[in-house]
Amino acid sequence: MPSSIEIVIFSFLAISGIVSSFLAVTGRNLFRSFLFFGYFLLSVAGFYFLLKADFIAMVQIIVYVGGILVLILFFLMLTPKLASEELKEVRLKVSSIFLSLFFFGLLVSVLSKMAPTVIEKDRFPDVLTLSKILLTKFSLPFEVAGVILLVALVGVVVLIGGE
Amino acid sequence: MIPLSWYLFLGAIFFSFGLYGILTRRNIISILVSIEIMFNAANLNFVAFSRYFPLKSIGDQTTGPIFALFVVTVAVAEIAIGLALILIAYSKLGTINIGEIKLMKG
Repeated sequence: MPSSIEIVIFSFLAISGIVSSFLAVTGRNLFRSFLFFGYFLLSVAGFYFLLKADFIAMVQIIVYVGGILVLILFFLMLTPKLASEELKEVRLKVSSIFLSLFFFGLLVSVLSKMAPTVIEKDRFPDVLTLSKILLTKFSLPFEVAGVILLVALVGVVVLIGGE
Repeated sequence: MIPLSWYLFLGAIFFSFGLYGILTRRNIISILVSIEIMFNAANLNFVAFSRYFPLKSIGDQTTGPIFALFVVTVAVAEIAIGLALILIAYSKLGTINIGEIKLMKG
């Protein structure tokens, strides 16, 4: 059985994550929805801490909150015409709700079948183990990820800087 | 310890919200944000699975976080390219509302 302090932390993170992600996808104000998106990212980082995955939690905070969110906000602030556009009322609302609920039911039915029994273990890789595995077993995907980042960088410079 | 099914349920909720955002939003930047929410739901499932599944060797338990790391990498590249394309589309077409962009309409 989970201890009570874990349940308290989990339910706090869950409520904040659900509310902020819902407001991020339905809010009418663009800037406000981005700020709720940042709150959602922080709550997901909290879940990683709860799962004892420290490294990926720090990556989540540094890359997502410090990188992607700030990048989008800068983009919006430098193009004020884009930021002032009103988020209009949508047309396909009812069918979208039904499709999302259908997908949710599909995910829950599949995942509940394959969920394993809870394994009580307190071993989770520290950063040292993670880096060793990353640079030996997963060295080829690591290099490919670097190439992907380089291609994205050069591609953005070519797309934007050429004018 | 929290049961695994709670995390999976939460990941499914986040994924459905992201899907709803993609289907209903008309602003391309908001659609990018919804895609990021779906990425995060998938990452949460990866990390949760890597913590709870029985593993053969010590290296296996790092697979989930490392896969999540690569997903974050791809998400960063996607956001950078996506924002550049949005800027070009806006300067050429004057709008980022996908209901009004009809270049590919036959």
